[in-house]
Formats: sequence, structure tokens, C-alpha cells
Amino acid sequence: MIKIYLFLIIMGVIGGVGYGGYMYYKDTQERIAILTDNNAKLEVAAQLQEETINTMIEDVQRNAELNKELQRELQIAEGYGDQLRATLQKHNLTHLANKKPGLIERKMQNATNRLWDDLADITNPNGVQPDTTGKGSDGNKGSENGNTDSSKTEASPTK
Amino acid sequence: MKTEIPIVARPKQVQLNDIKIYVVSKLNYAEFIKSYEKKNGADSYIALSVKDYENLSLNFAELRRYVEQQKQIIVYYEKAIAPEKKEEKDGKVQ
Repeated sequence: MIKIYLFLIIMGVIGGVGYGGYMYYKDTQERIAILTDNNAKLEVAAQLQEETINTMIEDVQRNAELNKELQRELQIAEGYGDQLRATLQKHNLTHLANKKPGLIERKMQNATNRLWDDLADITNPNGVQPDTTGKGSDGNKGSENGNTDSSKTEASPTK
Repeated sequence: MKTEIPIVARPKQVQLNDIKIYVVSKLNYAEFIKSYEKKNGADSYIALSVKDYENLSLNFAELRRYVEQQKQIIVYYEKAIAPEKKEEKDGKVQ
């Protein structure tokens, strides 16, 4: 009788240990599955975050580049006015008009015509911008001749 | 995610009329009066002093600068909102 009880006790202990082991194994597997799942989610999140950061860096670089280009273009656009002011300060247009009205008139007329052409180019929706921006050159053209004064003068008005 | 803004067409090009400038001094005044009357059929005209002419040219230069800078700013915005094309390793464009 004692042997039977002993046997039942041992079997109970063994069964308990076995059940405990099984439960431990099952719980561990569940944890592993959850952790694996979490890990995958974190990897995806990390990757997404990295991509976002890279995109932001690219955007910042692109915007900086565009802004730099814009500032350069804005500066170029100032060129014509600066050149015109310098030309008008440098030359006495009144004196030139008194001495050589015909020549000055021709230069003024040419410069004025160029200005209209330039304005048409600038506002051309399909237009190329290169020459438009190089207004400084226009001013120069105007002031090219010996009558630089007049030319410039002209160029100024024209442009 | 960027908001996609359609780029609208730009306004049509300006159509400017030609103008004729006369520079008149004591040297050519008589000749000017004669030729002007012959050409325009009247001896009335609008005169501009040299100083005012310079101011007018400076004003035009200022307007030109403004138009040009405004145009560049529009170009800047157009580029800024333009969708970016990325090439992947497999050569496909996103």
C-alpha cells in the first residue's frame, strides 16, 4: 500500500515538474514570439524614422541650394539699376545733350528700344532667363561708344 | 507628406509700344521744330528735362528690377514645390 502511495506521490511530482516545464516552455515561446514581433515593429519604425530623417536632410539641402540660387538671381537683378546709377553719376548728360544732341538722341532711342525688348523677354512665359538676368550687360551695351556718356544715359533710360 | 500645388501658367508677355525720343539743344532746335512739325503735323510736344529723364530711367530700372526679382521668386517657389524624382537602385523612378 505504501508503495502505491509512494508511486502516486512520485508520479504527482514528476507530473508537476513536467507540467511546470511545459508551461515554462509555452510561456517562453509566447514571450519570444511577442519580442520577435516587437523587434520587427521597432525595426520598421527605426527604418521609417531613418528615411524621414534622410528626407528632411535632403529637403534642407535642397532648400538651401534653391535659396542660394535665388539670392544670386536677386543680386543679379540689382545689377542693372546699380550700373545705371553709376553711369548717370559718371557722365554729364546735360552737357552731352547740348554738344551732341543727334548722337545722344540716337543712343537714347536705341537704349529705349532695348529696354522694351528686355522687358518683353523678362515677361515672356516661355522665355529663357539668362539674358534677362544679365542686365548689367545691357547697360554696358548702351554705354559702349565713345559717347559712353550718352550711351549709358540712354541705356539707363532704355533699360 | 507634401501638399501638391499645381503650377499655373504665367501671364502673357508684355506688348510695349515704341516711342520716339528727341534730344534738342540750341544746336538743333530750329531743325527740330521744322522736322517735328513736318512729321507730326503740330508743334506741340511734351518736354522732359535731362534730370527728369534720368529720373525716369531710374524709375524704369527700378521697375525692371522688381519684375525680374518677382519672377525669380516665382521660379524659386516652382522649384521648391516641384515633386522630387528619386532613382532607386533598380533604376525605377519613384
